[in-house]
Amino acid sequence: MPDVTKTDYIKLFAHRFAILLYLIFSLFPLYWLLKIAVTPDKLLYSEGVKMWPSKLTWVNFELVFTQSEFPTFFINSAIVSSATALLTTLIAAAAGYAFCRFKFRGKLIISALLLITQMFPLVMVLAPIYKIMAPLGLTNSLLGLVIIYTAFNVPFAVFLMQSFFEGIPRDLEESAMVEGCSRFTALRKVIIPLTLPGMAATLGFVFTAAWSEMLFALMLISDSSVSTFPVGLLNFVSKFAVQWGQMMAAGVLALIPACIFFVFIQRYLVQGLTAGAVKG
Amino acid sequence: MASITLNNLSKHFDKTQVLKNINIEMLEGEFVVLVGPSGCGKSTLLRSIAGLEQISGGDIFIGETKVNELAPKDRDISMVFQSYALYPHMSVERNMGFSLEVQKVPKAQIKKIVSEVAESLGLSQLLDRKPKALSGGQRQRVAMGRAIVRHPKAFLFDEPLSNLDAQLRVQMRLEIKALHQRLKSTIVYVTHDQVEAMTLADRIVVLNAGVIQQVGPPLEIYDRPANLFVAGFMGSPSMNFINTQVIMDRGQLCLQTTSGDKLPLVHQYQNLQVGMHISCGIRPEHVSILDSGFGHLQGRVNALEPTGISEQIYCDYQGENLCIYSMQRSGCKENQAIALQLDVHKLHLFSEQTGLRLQQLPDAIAEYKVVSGE
Ligand SMILES: Nc1ncnc2c1ncn2[C@@H]1O[C@H](COP(=O)(O)OP(=O)(O)OP(=O)(O)O)[C@@H](O)[C@H]1O
Ligand SMILES: [Mg+2]
Repeated sequence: MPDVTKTDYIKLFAHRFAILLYLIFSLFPLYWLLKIAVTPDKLLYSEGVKMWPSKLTWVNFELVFTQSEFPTFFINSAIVSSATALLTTLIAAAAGYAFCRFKFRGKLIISALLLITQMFPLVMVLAPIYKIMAPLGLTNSLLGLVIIYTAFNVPFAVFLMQSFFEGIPRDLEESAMVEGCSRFTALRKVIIPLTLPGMAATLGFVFTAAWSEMLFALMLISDSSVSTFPVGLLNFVSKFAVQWGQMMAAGVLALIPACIFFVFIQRYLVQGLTAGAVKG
Repeated sequence: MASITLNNLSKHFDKTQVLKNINIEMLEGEFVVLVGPSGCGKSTLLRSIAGLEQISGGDIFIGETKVNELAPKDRDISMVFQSYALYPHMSVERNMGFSLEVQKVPKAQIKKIVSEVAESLGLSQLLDRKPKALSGGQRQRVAMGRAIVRHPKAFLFDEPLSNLDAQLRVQMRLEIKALHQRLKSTIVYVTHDQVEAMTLADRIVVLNAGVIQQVGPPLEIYDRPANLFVAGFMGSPSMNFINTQVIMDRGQLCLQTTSGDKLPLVHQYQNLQVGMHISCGIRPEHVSILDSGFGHLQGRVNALEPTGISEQIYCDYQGENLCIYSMQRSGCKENQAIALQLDVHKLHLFSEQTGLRLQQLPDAIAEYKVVSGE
């Protein structure tokens, strides 16, 4: 039946076309970032709206590496983000498991509280948090940032992990327990290997959230030696001019870790989405 | 191998009582089948024995040891789950050797044991596969293999065949039977398949709403069901029940149906009194259709179900649906009036008040005579 295949082709085409449109829409800013990063400063204003500059330059990248504090920011960000991601995932995995498998008093209240924390706009809590952190000496410190980021990411991560644990049939760990495992061994040998995709997803999610966070970083950090990268970007905005080229070059560089991270966890993410579907 | 003894076991979830005063003694090497309708507590009972549910009262003994407080891992019991519960991230080989791996048995030895068991179950070719690349029957076999690699004190099976198609089920049933004969192991087996229960069991335990209804060898349960529930539950097609009252008719005790037909009682029964309301049970295979004459009862055919080997005829008698099971092809048509003959030696009498069986007294069995009708 040729008619059917024809409509099938049209459907396929429409589908792909829609995806393409979406991709162009969402990736265009990134493209612009890259374009400006490689455009020589002189041409920036004369060829501002061209899709591609007539001349390319790497000088912005060079300047970022040699003249700015960008490498420090970069390292700070990497430390803060990975520490936050690790800590959050650990806490969330433990809490998610408990929520999913155990009955305990106050379970409902605790999950309600976790939800409530997600409802406040951050701006509301900025000042109190500063008030708490300052006497503890946690302003101007990476540790302070890690603590705050972890605190703010844990609730959502807990729900995420809980749903991953719930995707694993109880029979599996019960079977392991009958076969001679303690609850902990069953967790280690059966449940954790099966939740790795979920943990990777959580890790990735928290990492990117921490990597691009700016509000708290801006408020808690004033010393540039402990600045993270989003705050560092503002250094390119001086009183007299914005160093667009360098700023964009730094932005491009900042994308790299996130990209690497996602390439790395991507296969777990795909697995994670399908793992729950195949039971037993 | 060990016996399993349940003493006054009870279990409730919050307020709902799921098991009530369960007392069973399962002997060493015995194959005990638990049957009962959905939700009656079979799985809960099995899981209590395994230690996966904390019991609310009573005692569980495995062998001589009281295991009430023992963790599942210390009970030395194998369980096959309905879902098979194979570990999806492990190969068949590791799945099967898992319990040994946990016990830190040397690798080489695990490999040897697993390959022997795999051989006996016809799984040797599949050892490297992951569970998701197996068919239902193969998964079932892996689950069984996993249970038998170590020699546990007892095996628990929770509806292990219910996910398989009919043919495979017959085959696996035979394999399980062979396995039991080979291993001589204590097995507690949950099913709601009649045939599985009848063919596999040394003893059947019939459970309803968390209460044991009857315990006994399969044929005893079939031939002498202890109450209305067991009578109606065991057997497929299930037993017919007719509402009757005991009367004295020309010097003989009879059951009179609501529409006035009489069934002579050829045996003596305990506690039988004139005037009693009796639910009279008769199995479909003990009802036959007469070509001529009136028989005991007259019905009208509702539906016919020929299966090739046999025929089930459903007919209407005083508003009840009576089932007749016949190895002959009757040639009946729907809506045809038919005369039914009951094998009066095979009547089951249950008190309508208590639902309990009226036991047949042994002395009356001596003289068999064909009564009335033909
Ligand atoms: N965790 C639980 N909390 C509350 N009630 C439960 C729980 N587990 C089981 N029940 C109840 O206990 C009863 C017995 O359940 P069980 O699973 O033992 O039934 P079953 O005989 O195995 O049924 P099936 O043949 O459908 O598997 C059911 O009514 C069920 O609703
Ligand atoms: Mg069940």
